[in-house]
Amino acid sequence: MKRKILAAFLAAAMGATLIVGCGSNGSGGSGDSGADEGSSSGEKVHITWYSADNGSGAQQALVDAFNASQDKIEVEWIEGSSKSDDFKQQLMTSLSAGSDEYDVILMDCCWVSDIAASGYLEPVDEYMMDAGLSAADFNPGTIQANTYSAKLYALPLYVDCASLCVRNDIVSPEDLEVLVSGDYTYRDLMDMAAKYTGQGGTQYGLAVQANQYEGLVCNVNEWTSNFTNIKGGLEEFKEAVKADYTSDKQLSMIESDGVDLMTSGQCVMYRGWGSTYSNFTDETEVGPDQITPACLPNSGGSTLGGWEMGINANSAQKEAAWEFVKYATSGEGNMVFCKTGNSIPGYTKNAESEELFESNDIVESDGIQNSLKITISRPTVERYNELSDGLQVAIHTYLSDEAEIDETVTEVENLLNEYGFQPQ
Amino acid sequence: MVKRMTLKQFVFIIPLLVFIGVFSFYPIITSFMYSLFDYRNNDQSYNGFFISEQFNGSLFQEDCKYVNYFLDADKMLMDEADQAEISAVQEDVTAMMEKYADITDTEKISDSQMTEIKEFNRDIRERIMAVYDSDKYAGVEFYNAENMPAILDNLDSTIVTSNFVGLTNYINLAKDGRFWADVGHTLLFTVVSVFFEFILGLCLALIMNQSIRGIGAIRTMGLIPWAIPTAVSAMMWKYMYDGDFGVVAHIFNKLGLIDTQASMLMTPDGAMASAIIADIWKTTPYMALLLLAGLQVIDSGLYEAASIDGSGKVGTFFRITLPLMKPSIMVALLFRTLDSFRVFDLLTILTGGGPGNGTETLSIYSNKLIFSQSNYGYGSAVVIGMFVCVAIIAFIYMKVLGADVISDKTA
Amino acid sequence: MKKKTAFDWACLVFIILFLFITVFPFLWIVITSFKTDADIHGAATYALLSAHPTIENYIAVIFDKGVLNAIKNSLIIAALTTVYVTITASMSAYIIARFRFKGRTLLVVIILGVSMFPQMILIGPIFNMFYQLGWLNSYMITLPYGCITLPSAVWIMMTHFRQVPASLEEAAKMDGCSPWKTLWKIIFPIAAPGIFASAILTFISAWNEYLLSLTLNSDVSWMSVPVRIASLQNEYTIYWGQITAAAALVTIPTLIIVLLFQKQIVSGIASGGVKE
Repeated sequence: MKRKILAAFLAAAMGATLIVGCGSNGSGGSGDSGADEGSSSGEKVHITWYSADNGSGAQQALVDAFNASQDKIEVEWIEGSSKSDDFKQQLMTSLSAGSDEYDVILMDCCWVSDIAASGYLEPVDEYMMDAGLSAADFNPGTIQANTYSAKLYALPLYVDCASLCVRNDIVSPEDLEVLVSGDYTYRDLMDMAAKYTGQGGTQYGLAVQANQYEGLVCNVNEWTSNFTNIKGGLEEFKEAVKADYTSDKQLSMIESDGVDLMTSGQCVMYRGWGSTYSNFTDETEVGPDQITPACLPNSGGSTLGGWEMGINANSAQKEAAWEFVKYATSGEGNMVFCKTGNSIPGYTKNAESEELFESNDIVESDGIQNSLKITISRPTVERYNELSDGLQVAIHTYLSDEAEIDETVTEVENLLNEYGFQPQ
Repeated sequence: MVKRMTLKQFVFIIPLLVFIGVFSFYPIITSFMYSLFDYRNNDQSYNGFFISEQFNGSLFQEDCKYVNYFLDADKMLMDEADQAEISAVQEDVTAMMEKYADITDTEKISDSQMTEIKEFNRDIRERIMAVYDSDKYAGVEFYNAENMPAILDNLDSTIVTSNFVGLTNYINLAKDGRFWADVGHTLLFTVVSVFFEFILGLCLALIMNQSIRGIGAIRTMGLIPWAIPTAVSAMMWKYMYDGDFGVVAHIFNKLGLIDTQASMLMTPDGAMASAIIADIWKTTPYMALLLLAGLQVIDSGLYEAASIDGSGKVGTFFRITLPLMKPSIMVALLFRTLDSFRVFDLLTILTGGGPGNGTETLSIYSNKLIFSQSNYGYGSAVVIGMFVCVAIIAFIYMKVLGADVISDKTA
Repeated sequence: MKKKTAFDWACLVFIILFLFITVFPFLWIVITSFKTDADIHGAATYALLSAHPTIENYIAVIFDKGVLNAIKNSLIIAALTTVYVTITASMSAYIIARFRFKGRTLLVVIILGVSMFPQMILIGPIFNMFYQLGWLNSYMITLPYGCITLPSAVWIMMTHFRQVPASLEEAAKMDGCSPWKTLWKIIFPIAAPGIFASAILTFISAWNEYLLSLTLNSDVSWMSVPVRIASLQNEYTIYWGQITAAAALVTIPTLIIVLLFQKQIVSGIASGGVKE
């Protein structure tokens, strides 16, 4: 009824302005033909997968492999914005309108609990039981992040963990061994950064992420050992950010800035993610041979990230959607995706498989394997995104000399208490 | 000459009224509604306008299913008496699910039904937890020892209480230091950038108004910045301000304007100045175009008269040009101010609100609240607060520059 | 020609400097677009000409990234918006400027008022509306664009219509012109600078719009220029070469349009088209 009134109202608007009427006729035609194309694919169930393009071609490979693997379901990849904020905005707008335009959704692991709590996702436990899958088959930290009110809402397409990207042609073999093992402290890391600055044509020893954004919380999470050592960790972090061995623009750096410094050969070490390494190619100034994945100091831990597959609660084809989720997270598709994209599978069996190691030497490397052993989650609380925003403001104010350490520590502690986070 | 409007003329403004009604009023009223509720999109119990107690039928079905499924898994670890008790609970749960199977949305139900559901929730919680917490299972690890209380809590949340909060969001807003700090940043940005845009826009308009050779090219060139999408130009400026690769930062550094190449975006003041420069660059042409159009309505006869009187160029400008351009100046300033008060793309991309939240504007704050934190209620209150600020500014403009644009008098 | 005074020379220097500053960032975009990624972040960062200039970036954005399609979408959307906003706004502005009616001041204030709300609050409700009506990913996006640009268009035209001497209109009325004809034949030509200025501003506002287009036309084949360009990045890489190449490309159509219409902005009364 409401819809009819609205349509009538708008129709009046159109009639009143002649030119718009003309415009809409033209566009209506082309819009329809687009929809026809989608549904004219025969008897197959047609589902859509909403995901951003990560640039590796893995998304397309996964979709192609799935469509070739069976003849009942056809999945169409709908490409969302590659800017994370924009992607989330598109996704949330669509979901909150109750839209079923996307059947399967790819989400950053720190969004899942919010989206699940709002009732936009279908729990997957029952489907998993029927398929004989258990939550224990997947990366535990990720499963924890994807669980809300005892229900599991998404499965990992791939997991990511913080890792230290090191120039192996500059750092000595002895130091490299220490870095790969993870058996050192942040103080050691800072000393080493100072020591290697300037060598091999570099300007900086270390690059981290200290812009006011989500990545700042991840970095601080590591430096403060999952917010157990807030004061010490923050002071060391600020010292590093302000030091000569980091870039002057450190306070505004996000992942891509560090990657630029590394690939152009201006930096020795870079705190990045496991998925960073595909940025070093034969065409970049610094190639993949000059880079070794290492491990962050194991006293602090390595923040867990990754992207998760969930089913839209409003989807009309949940069974088919589940088939695709299953294929992509634990079936052959997971292997296809992780091989093509050099990603770390969240499905434990795949993560340890020799088959993967053959084509994906990043995951096989000791640095990544050691990082995976020390993963920590971001504070697991309800309404994490609110907490994260508060932390970003408090910490960035301290880093840019607008607040003292003590008031910042109090502020951070208050925020963590307010949202009910218990550091362990 | 002002005439009374008849029906024939009213037809002329119908399209405008319809457009504004559908695409502006409807969203604005929705947003105002949000601001009166604790409306959050990250919790099922809050993402609706619930004035009275309601029942979330679909969540109830889902939760009941989970209760039974958790009990199924753990039953095997219990003794026979408890197994029988748990099976009885499960039967009750199934019966309840069937009874309310036809309620699939969040909707109102009768008081007796509401009481029944609440009692049911309390009853099964007691009976289930009595078994789980029983001393005889002290050494037993149930699979769902942690899940059970969580799902029972979730079951309680199927009774949705009212999230109408009246003016609470506005009261919190008045006490929110971050909001007032953002008002300050936004005002600073607006005042400084609009001031320079006006001065430079006037210069550009005067240049564009000349009839020298190649003026067409100059006019077109002058409009280049305005033709580059804001989202793109903001990215470009970020690149040009970059501490390692930015050409503008490099030039400023070489000219001695800044200490190090990176210092532009590293302090709140520097970042604000950088954003203002980028904004002035981008929107001066807008101002110039409006003022240029305003220059055209001045009768050239007046200039001739002035030159006969022996007024110099500067004198003519202040005595004739400026006063006659007043309506155009007023419109240009007004709309530029409204626009820059809502600045979003530029600062989000350049600084994201940093450093230390020193460049966060009201738009960025409300966008963070609404889209990152799914807090529509409070986010909308910020938007309304922002509207009030802009309305005050617009009012001041009209008072200071004269309200003849909207009064009944004609020029 | 008169002899150039010192003042004239100063003006000339000022004009050149002014234009240089205006054009420089755009020039830098063009310069960067011919550099390889290695040059952009390497030794050649500040070089005016890359040692090995490349057109790879242009090839990539035209053939792989569908920037031409985005230009087509944006041109159609911006043109539709401009045409109907100009017509709607000029009709309303004429009435508001020339007639007295109840609630006239209120109407003017409301028009101003709706343009005070940030666009982000329009997104949710308009998305719902478009979803219900099946209008997502279509040229229907011009409708909400109209509302973003209508207020300023109405106000600009209002001020210009008021400057048109009333006596002309009286004369037209004597001759038996209908209101529509009066607007079209008398007011329009005289107020042309204001109308063209407002049309150009409307066109470019629609061309620049980001938030609505991001959510309403999210499908790749319907993406507008700003959204398409902003998406030439991912978590780890911002493809500066491609972004600058695309930015340089998309500026061309708007510049052509401005070049075609710039003469119309400076005409009207000043050009002596009307004698009282």
